[in-house]
Amino acid sequence: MKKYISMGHPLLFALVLISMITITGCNKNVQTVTPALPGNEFLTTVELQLVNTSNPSDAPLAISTQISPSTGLYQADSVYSNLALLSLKANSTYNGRVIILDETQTPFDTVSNEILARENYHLFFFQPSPIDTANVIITGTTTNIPITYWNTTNNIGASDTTAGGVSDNEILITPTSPGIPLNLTVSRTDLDNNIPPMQIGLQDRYVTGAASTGILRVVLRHQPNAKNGTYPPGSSDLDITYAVKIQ
Amino acid sequence: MKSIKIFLSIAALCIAVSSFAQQKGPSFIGINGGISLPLGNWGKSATIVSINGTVNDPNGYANKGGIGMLDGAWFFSKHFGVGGLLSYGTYNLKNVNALSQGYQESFDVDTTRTTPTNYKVLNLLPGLYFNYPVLKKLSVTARALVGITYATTPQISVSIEDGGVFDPPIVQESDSKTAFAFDVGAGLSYAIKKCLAVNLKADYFYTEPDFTIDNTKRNNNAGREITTYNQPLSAINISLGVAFLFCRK
Repeated sequence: MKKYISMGHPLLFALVLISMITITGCNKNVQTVTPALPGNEFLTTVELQLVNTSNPSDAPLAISTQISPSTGLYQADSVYSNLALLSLKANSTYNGRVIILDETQTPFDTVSNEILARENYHLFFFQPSPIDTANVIITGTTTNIPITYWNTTNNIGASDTTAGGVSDNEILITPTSPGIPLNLTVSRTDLDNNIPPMQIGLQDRYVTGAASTGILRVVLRHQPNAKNGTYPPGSSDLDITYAVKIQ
Repeated sequence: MKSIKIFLSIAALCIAVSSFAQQKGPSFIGINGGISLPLGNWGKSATIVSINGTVNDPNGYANKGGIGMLDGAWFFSKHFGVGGLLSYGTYNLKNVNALSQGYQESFDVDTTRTTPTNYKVLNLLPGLYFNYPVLKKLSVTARALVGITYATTPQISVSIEDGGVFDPPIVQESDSKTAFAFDVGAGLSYAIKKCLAVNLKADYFYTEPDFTIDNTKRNNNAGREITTYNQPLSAINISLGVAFLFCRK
């Protein structure tokens, strides 16, 4: 007796095989690009609020803003720095905080609260200038900006590093380019929620030395999944300067 | 001598099975292909946002997938048999845009680009088969199988761009685990020829591997981050195929 397995309808068999291959073959890897979300806030105003640790009535306030003092309107291409001056006592210590506002909103939106909420990938840097080369110390906890990120081509305004205005440039004091440094050191005093925690810079300590003048450049780095205490990763959310007078 | 006896016994058994095949249910080898519909959290998706600290995510984002099956059974009585199923399914991720948007909002960045691979599930399930003829050529079939599965989770890579700068990508690595699984199903078998049938089957499949997920290049605590995934991987599988029946002309 002949025993066999019938192949039946070859067409049907082929159809089933093709449908299986097609269904399985459809599982190609996909890639999705999510575009920018609308409605990001403006960082119109940045205040440095300081309090002398030994004299609470000594509370300097420096304001850099893009809100026109005459019209009260946001000027994207302008920075009004007439109030961007820190007057500090010599040989003193100040506790300071950075307040960032969006004054295009009514009432004002305190953006620094959002920065605090997103502390794990934001980091402030504070660069006093003029500064001696030996005092530019770059570690994972210092607030200095690496010299390669300075604007050193001219003293004033050669490169625009702000969101909408013009930065003063850092001045490096060297044996071949002597000068009087700004005797100011800024350190961060707050910590984020990373493991291990890293500094943020919304809360800071300012220590002054002898009388001197200069500028303080303040930069907020946005370092999504890249924050490691150093300056280079990420991009800058704000980059502004204040005049500093220590007397 | 002993081995010869064993060989002869097996041969006799095979001959006996062949001889009485028509008096028993239709032993077969079949091949099926179809669609697999993930159930429960495995098949769900969400936009997970966490700006300060990471959060776990029970959702599996598994889309409907394709599945291929090879099975066979030997019927020791008119209605019941023993057999096994070897199947392989893959599942793309669905709603990847929601997944991507969660990372975008969590890190407050301009653009995220999410590239996932897929789930892969390989099953080897022996068990009990049932066949009940309702018409001359049409039978109702069922099966209850218990065995093992080897499942692999997708790798999910999320690249981040903000202010024109590309930051380190977030990578959820793939993991593979073996786990117990079961499958229960029912179907219809229609004999288009004496030794060839077309099968339509629906199965419920369940397994629960205990995946351990590595996350590389995670520098800051924000957004979705899963370190384990032990949600059930369950699915409804609907398949169509052909079965070659062991029969006599």
